[in-house]
Amino acid sequence: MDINKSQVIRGANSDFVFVIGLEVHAQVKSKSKLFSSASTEFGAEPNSNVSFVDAGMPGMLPVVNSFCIEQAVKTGLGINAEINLTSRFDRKNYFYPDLPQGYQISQLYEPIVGKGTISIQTEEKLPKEVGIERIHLEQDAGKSIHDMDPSTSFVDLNRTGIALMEIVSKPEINSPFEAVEYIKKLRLIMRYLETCDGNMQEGSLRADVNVSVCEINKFQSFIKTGDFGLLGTRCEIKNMNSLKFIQQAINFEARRQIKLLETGKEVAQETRLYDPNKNETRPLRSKEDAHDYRYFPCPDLLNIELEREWVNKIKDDLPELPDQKYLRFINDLNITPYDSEVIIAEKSTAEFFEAIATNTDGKIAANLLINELFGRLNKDNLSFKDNPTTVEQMRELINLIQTDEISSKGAKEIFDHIWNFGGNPTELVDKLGLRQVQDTSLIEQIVNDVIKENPAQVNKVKSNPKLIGWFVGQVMKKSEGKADPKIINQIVNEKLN
Amino acid sequence: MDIDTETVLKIARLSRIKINEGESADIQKDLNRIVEFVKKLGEIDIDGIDEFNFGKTNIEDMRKDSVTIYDNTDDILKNTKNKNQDFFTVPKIVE
Amino acid sequence: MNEVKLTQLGIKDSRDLLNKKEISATELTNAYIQNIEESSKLNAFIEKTFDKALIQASKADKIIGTDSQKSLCGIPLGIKDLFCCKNVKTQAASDILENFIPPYESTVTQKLWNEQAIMLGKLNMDEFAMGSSNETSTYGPVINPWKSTDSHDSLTPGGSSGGSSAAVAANLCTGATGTDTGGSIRQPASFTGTVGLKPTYGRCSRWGIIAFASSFDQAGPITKNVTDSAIMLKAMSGFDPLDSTSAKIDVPDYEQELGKDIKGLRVGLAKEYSLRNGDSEAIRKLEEAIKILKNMGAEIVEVSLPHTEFALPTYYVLAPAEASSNLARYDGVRYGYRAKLDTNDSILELYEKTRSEGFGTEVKRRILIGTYVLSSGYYDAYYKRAQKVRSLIKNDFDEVFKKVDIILTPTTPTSAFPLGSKGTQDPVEMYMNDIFTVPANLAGLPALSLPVGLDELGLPLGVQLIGNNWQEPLLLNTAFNLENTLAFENNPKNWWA
Repeated sequence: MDINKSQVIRGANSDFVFVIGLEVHAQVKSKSKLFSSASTEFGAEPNSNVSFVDAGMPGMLPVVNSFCIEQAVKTGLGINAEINLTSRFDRKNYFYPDLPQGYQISQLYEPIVGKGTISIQTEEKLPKEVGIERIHLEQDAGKSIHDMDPSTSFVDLNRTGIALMEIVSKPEINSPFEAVEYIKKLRLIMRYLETCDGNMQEGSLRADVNVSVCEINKFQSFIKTGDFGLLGTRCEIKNMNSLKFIQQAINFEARRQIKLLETGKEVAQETRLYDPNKNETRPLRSKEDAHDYRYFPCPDLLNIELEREWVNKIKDDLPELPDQKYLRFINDLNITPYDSEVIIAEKSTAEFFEAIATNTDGKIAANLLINELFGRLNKDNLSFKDNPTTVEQMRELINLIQTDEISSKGAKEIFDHIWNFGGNPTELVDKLGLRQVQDTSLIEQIVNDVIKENPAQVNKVKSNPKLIGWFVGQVMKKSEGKADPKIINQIVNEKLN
Repeated sequence: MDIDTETVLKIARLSRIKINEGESADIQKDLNRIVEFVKKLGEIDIDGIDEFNFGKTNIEDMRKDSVTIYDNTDDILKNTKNKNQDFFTVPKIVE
Repeated sequence: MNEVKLTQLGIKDSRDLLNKKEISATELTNAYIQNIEESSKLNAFIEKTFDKALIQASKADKIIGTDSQKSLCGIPLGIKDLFCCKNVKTQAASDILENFIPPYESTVTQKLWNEQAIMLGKLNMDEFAMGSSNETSTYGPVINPWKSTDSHDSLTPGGSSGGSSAAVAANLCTGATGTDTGGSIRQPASFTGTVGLKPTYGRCSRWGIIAFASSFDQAGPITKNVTDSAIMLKAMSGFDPLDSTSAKIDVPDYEQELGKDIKGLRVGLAKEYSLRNGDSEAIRKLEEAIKILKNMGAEIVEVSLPHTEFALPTYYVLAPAEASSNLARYDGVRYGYRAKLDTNDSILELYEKTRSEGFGTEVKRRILIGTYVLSSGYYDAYYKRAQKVRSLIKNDFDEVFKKVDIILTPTTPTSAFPLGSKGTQDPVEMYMNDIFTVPANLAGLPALSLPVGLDELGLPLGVQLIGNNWQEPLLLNTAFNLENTLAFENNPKNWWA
């Protein structure tokens, strides 16, 4: 691999490369929790979605939610990963008020999903594969709230026990940009699979970011040898839930580490928190002792044995993933890579696009979708689910453009009307007086009139062919904007050349 | 002796059990006695032996993804006095 | 019939009299209440639920003889304090669960109430079931109703189900629930002349039973005779979707299995169990049982369980390891005891003080040793190694059960010992009590202790029958045949009333 400019960070004396690994905690999309039947609904009253199991009451036992297993397998298949037919849950033991059992049930020794990959683009638009080490399932903790009272922290257990997938990347991410791209891509895949809604604000996607820096020559040896010993000491920035802050935190942290190294100090391996107000990271205070999680197999749960056939069935039923869709839209629906990227960025828009572009004109459809519909949604601060137009309306509109019954300007007008009042595009063409004049003899008549009225310009055209545009404009004006510009062009050219 | 004073303190901290100075020596003695006893396990050749298997389960035997509405906030909180507005409360944690 | 005699009846005999309407459930319940009230010296009942009992009894009296009558209608039972009972104080005999009132009912006790049994109250036990003498209870030890012929010393009823065994032996209930992690049903049964059955792991649901060591814990009955054991086991058993380790295996009518001829039964005698103790009372009792079995046409086969000597060390790694994690939930946050804190105490002090003050010495010792064997650097040498040895021990049994139908061993090395006489200087001395019982827990096998007779000191002593998985019917029937010939009478002289 070559080192790209975006992967390099300048120190005072030498250049360094970012080395980043991400542990993404993705909340599994499921109705009930991983080990209890309490609801996963967001934003409920405190301690109202809590079963006795979640509250760690004496004698309570976990029972695995099969759908969460299925969701993890699906996600694994979506990143081309190995699915482990035998997996197991382990207990990770530590004390914290929002961890009622005194342990988190997780998967250390035998995770459900093994190695996979995600493809992204570097800032230079170069393709890059980031390796995934594993995906394991685990319980989320509850929520501790520290700012409701001066002397006490408050604990809400609603989130306790919700299923998370921890998706662990290899340290193969080399810039803040790539980190964001990686998360975006991962999120997109999970949204396509409907295994995680990826809502970072609600905390259903969070990341621990491992950052280290490596002097560029050492990094080059690392590339050659694969010797991880050449890499720097890493710090883990915990619990990030904003792409912007992730980018900022990585930049800050890398600079902090470089400063240490360049002044002959060492980077301590530690867990840090990012403070967006100060744009800095600082060490986590609550770590009275070195962690020793004493993982061991959870004796309340049995080993999970999946059948190959069951996994294959899920694989066969996987929906088309964003990378595949991206290529298919370019190849089959004739749109540009840029448009395709924009359109596939959400599953619902991609599906809408496909519905309006199939057997119509992909380019017109993409144009209409991106410039008109997205433009309008953005302007009004709406999301795609608020889209008031229907597939039928859009297909009709595309048809009208395709058959030159309306101009692109007319299309805009019809779109605006539909946006505001709804309506049938074909009916709107005449209602709004937008039908293009395609009667060649009528247009020819207007062209003749314009030529007749402007002899001076006709003379100039011979020496300056660009003036043809001026004639076209005049004809359009005379037709009150209704003449088909293609036909005008054709006739004007015939007459003046 | 396998468990020195420092180890006693380390595992006590991990266990969140406070050990007073007066009892530390006795605890250390007892723990060492138990460790000495279980060390007998070191005599067995365990090469190629699998860990004990708790049994296995398949996807059909697991719980289906359906929600129970518990409506039990009072039951969840009724065994503690340390609560406020339906939250549990603990001494302030500084992160 | 006078009341003292009434309470000498067990479950079956009481049931038969109730069915014949010779006695009423209320009459029977009142007789037990009176016995319990007079038995405070034994310290067996720690929570009395007489109001509830009398309501249940009066309901039972209305139901008896109707179609809605179930198998335990009107039968008064005692419940070990390890079972969570809805709205009944449940503390596992520990301070840390001070005044804990479960808002739920354990599956096993619910099954008993579904069969219309009557709840007399909660029975004393070792704290969190950790002990072999009932001396670790926060309520103080239970006193064995049996006394040695040559001393007035108070004897242990065994542990941890010492309240259960003493209550059954002293006619304070028809039968009682127990739990057995390393011998906690069988050893107390042996010490009190009662029948104690630890079923196959997974036979009874663990849901709602306060966990000690999850991969060992099993509930089972302690009763006056084998028939009662069969009746009670049936009511307690069955698959529970709330316990992932409970087995989806039909529950046979155990009572129906009793009385079958045991001619040709292959009975294994493990040399590792007998040779160790040479010429002892325990071995003499074993030999009595062998003689009877031979006379009944059973075939005695000498077998070997070569890893027996490693069973106790294995157990004392694994059980504390699981316990250290299972008991992490007792942190003073959501229920039970919370230490009084000083003004500036942090969450750490909350945990450390609460747990230090709330747990007793033996429980703390096991938490510490369990933490140690799981901690970084020791996991492989202790926990993992012990799990492998556990496999070897299980394999030993698998091999032996290819040759024999049941294995016969002593239940305990000795009869009941005086309170305060063991383990005060050396905790391991107390652990040695479990030497014959622990292997069945390690392998998950069903095992039953049957009283054989009195030893030289006039104290009861049992033998243990170990069966292959799900062979409870065979165990019970063999024990039933033995019992008929032995004709042991459990009638300790009443010195406490």
